[in-house]
Amino acid sequence: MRSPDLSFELAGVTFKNPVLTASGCFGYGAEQDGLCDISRLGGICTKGLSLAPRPGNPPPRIRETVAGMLNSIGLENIGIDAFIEEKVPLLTGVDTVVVANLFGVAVEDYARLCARADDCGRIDAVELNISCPNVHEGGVEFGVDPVMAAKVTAAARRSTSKPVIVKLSPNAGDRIVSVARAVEEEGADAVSLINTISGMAVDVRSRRPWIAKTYGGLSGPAIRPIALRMVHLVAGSVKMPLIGIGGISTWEDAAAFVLAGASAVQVGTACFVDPSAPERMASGLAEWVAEQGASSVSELVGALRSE
Amino acid sequence: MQIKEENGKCLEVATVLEQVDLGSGYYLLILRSPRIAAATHAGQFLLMSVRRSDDASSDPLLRRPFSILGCGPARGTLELLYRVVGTGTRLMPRLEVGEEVSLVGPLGNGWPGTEGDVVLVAGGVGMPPLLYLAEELSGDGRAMTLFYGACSVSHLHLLDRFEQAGVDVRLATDDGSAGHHGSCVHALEKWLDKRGVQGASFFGCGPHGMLAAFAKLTEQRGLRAFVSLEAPMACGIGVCRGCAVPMRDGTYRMVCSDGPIFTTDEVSFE
Repeated sequence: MRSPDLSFELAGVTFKNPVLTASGCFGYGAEQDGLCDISRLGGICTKGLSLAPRPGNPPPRIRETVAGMLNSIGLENIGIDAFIEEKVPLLTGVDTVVVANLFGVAVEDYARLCARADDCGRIDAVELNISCPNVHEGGVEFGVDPVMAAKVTAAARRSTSKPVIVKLSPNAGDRIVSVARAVEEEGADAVSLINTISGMAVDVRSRRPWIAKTYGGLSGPAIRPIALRMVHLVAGSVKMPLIGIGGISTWEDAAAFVLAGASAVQVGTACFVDPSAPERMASGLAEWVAEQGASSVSELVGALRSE
Repeated sequence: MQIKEENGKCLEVATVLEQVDLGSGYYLLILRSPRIAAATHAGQFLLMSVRRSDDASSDPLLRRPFSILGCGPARGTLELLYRVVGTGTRLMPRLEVGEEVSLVGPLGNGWPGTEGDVVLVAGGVGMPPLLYLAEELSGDGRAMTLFYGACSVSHLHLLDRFEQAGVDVRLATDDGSAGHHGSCVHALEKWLDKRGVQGASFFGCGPHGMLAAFAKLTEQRGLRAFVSLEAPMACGIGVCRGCAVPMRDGTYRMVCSDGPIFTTDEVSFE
């Protein structure tokens, strides 16, 4: 029997399998050496990159919660220029798709970041993190407003010919569907969802929040059912491919997102729990596709039975 | 093709060889983990999955960081000393001989190489990286002195190991049940008052307040000092940026990948 086709194509870029690592959980790609063979992954999404380096938030930045974790890292990163100069060379010759995750605080930032990424041959695609405050709109997240999300997408689309993936915020609630439609309208090639969900935890002895900035983004298995529903909801409303994210830890989790309508998945918090998880997920998916009698994973995208 | 960045860390399934209940919630855990044991040096740490290998639940989700207490590369063994304090460590005493646990290590920078005499300052469960250092330096002719403090004598462990390594052991307890009645940093201060130290290096590990006092004292006396820090941690390899600690120059550095060892004059203990 032939092994099933796991590949996934996005606007001319081919991912060898549908398992990617999520932004913020895999650094700039080289840090996992010895723990995970990234050439066996469909792709990696870099830590979120901004125009200038950012120092990040004061500690404590993370707190484990039930089946999950809260984080408020503050988008610490080395900046896109240092990424291209120092980190990209470490990825030379590695056979995997490199997706640069980009974020800004103004629409114009996204245009400049995409233009910079467009000039770098090793960056295969861009992913826009729109779960950031827009400083010109009173600090409201771009991602909760279809109009702002559309403006960011349009600016990115004008600035790069590479595939543009827009990472959606669950903090939009069911308006996530309108946001997805709006970014598709402006030329997004795909959406990835969901980013972390805003949450909070309190140390009752000290009476302080466990996270210095009070609120953090919740990730891990705890958010998986919410993420799965949002993928299912959005999949029914747009034509572009979806990349599922949210507590995916095993191939069974990944398969559930595929059935709900995701063409690929990103593995986030599970990389911390088991750095080899994404690598093993691809082989588990291959067996599942064969067992389902399909010849490619794409045949199973959205193949949820409803009756 | 593997990418380049040489560091020797790996993911390894270790086997429990022995677990010793030391009392007061402290345990000595001996693991067979040849790949990590071959690459480890004093001051480094590892991440351990505290759930049983057949436990597919997601709680507790994250691995736990532990300083390495000792290492037997010839036999492929690693030793950890832990204290039961929370949801993760509470599961560990039930690990049985022969059981498998998943490790990521060795991680972090480890103690720097120094010359001259060494003074070790340990607070409670911060002792392990100092015993490892003492055993690593044992027999090379330098004088080693340990100031080891805890709330009470029942929390001071493996003193014979320090003595076998040739360390002059000085105890301190908050309740006065052994040695100096007070903190180990205060005991160190009194000791320094009585004698001069030249060319010695000072190494500290323990709770935040103790390390802040240790840093202040060594700085006042113009002594070269290093600390091993801890922080809540997810990845252990510098990617999640969760274990940030503030530096005096206003920047943040990561306990896992920049540390856990820092010089006292670079850390902000405010």
